[in-house]
Amino acid sequence: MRPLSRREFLRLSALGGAGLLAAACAPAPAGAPQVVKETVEVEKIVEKVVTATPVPVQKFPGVKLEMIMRRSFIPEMNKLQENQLAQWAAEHEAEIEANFAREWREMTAAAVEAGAGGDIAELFQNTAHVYAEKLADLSDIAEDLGNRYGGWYDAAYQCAVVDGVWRAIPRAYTAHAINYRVDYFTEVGYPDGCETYEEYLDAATKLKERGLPPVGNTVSQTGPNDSASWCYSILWSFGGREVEEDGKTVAINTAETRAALKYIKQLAEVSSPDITGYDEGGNNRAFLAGEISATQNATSIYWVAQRQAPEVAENMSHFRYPAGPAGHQQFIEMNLLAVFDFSPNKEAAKAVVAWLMEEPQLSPLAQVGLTFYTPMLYYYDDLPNMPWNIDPKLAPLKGLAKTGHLAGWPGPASRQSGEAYANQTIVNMFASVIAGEDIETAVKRAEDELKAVYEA
Amino acid sequence: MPMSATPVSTSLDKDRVSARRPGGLAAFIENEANLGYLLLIPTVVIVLGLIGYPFLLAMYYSFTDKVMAKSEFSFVGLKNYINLANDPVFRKTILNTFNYTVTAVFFKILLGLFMALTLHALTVGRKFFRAAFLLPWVVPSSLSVLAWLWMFDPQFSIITYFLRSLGLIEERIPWFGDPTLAMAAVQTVNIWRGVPFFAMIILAGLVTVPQELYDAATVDGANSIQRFRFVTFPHILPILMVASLFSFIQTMGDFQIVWILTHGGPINSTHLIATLAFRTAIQGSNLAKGSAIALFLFPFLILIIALQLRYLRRE
Repeated sequence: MRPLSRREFLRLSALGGAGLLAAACAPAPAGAPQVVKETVEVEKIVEKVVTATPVPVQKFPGVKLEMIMRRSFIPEMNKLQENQLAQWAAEHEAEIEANFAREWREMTAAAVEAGAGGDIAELFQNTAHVYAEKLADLSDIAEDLGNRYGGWYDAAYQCAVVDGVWRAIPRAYTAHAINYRVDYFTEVGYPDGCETYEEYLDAATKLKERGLPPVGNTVSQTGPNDSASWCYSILWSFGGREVEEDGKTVAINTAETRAALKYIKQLAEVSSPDITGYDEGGNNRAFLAGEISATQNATSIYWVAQRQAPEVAENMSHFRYPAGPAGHQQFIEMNLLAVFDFSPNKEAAKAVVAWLMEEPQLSPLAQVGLTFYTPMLYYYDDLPNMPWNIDPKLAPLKGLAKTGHLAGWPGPASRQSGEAYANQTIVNMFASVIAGEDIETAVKRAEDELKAVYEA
Repeated sequence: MPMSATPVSTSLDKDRVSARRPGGLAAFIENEANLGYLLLIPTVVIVLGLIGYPFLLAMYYSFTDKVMAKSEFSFVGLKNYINLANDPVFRKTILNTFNYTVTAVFFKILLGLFMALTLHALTVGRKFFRAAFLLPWVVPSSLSVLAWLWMFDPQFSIITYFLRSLGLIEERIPWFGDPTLAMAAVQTVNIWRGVPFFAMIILAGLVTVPQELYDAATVDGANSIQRFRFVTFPHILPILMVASLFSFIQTMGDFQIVWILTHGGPINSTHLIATLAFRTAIQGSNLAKGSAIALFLFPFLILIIALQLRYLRRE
């Protein structure tokens, strides 16, 4: 992509470029790492990105494909994908009906169970393992992509390979990090964020002591994704785990789990009292309203701040989840593309998936998605036009998946780990300790719940 | 022309006969009993297809180890039900469901009765107020519950704001962070939504009470409380019973309010049978366990329905 001149940049931003441009041009804080500077114009990406598509080698006249896709809160992401799919359909003389829905997970589950109702679906987390029997073998596509794009992250294998077969293509992960107010954290001595959980607790304590907005990390059933991201990550970073590597032996009742719970208890005492009641957007709103100084989140806070609260965007940044006694371990949200094995148009469907994973399509998606859709292939780490290589405030999110895991780790991703995740057993264990329950009782109850899933 | 006149006459006679006694499909429809069955077909198809089949399938799954997307599964008898009986989350959910249902139905009866008596006593603007009070019940719950979601928001709750403005509280109310408050919140929304239904049903009963009975009671010296106790209440009791039993079953199977507001939290303290079944079967992909959760209270509901039908027959 050709770098834009400042004049072009200003002209395009006046036409509606908005936040990403502001992010791209934001001055780097003192001491920030040097990053490749390039401007990004969202509308231009959405409308014109597909000009570099290779000439199609096979046409599918008369074929109609149905896709069940995740509806993003970023409208441009949906629009971009609609444009890309329309282009593929036109070039291949086929028809695509893509349903971008917020209930895409439930729709996919219904299609899988019915054995009808779609050809391609976007999967979430570990569902490639759950639906494996109904998914086509995509190993040829995955291996080809891995060979040409620098290889896959380990987490890609965890989420997509079932009994040696790629049942889905890990399209991207959503990177979570600590969103923090640089001004407040500077006051308490952590201008660049915190390296360890102990430092984070120290920062939170000092924020409270000085009467500054406290930290507010969601631990609630109403905010399942943010809460899981936070609680699993802390558990793992303190050396805890819900199940052993065999994926069967429940292993939550350990000293490491107790240490993690003791930590969350200490942290909650100096946090916002609202943390157990936030929904998925509650911490976002609290941060944007200036009520909290830090929270765990994807980059949606930054995305909104750039558009609606530039003073907050100016004063905020990100740092990756801190490290604990067992190092830096991070829960990641996975997004995958799969082809239903019962699809009557498997070849065409596979062609679409392979095409969507090529750089001309995936790169703009990652750009527009602002780390919501971070590719799982190493090639993109250092690609100059990626958000983490453009905006210093997003640089800490680069390559987070290197230490990323799915629910159930270090056990394999499985139906059981998915059920335990859906049950929010780990999140509720943390939440109950915050609510005042003693650690032993919370651990025992979590152990019973996990045994009901893994050992039933 | 006798030869030509005869056939014409015969043809007309035949037409008359056929008009009186239609044949084929017309004759079949003409029969009221047949027409009745015919008109029942769409309902039967809908009930069997959308309720009967899924219900039987769920019942079947609940005795197996069926999980989503697996074509192979086996019969496990009562294992799922036995496991559930020992499942702490399920036991908590059963208690939540009864707490939610009994409390909500009680207040819906009480407030519905109050609303109906008030509307019945109105002489000015009766139609307007009747329409206005029906709004909570008419508005799709998915929309109205979203409004409640904002009213219970940790930061921006208008209820908290109002109470703080009056100086009644200092701290924010953690509506969805505290188990007791969360349950009270979801119950409040259910009551708010259900009261108009009770009010309208009771109001319909009130209209049918003969005025002469009130006149006679007044002549006998009955005060307003005695008139209600000995005239009004016995008349509306049958309809109140039916509405209560109906509401009991509806409330016990509630889903949207809890799912939208709390997702069953905090710490599973507002999970109801329906939300737990959805979480387990669809999100957790354990269809067998989810089906068993959904059907665990089926015998109890059958008992409720039997009581309801028995009461209706007696009345």
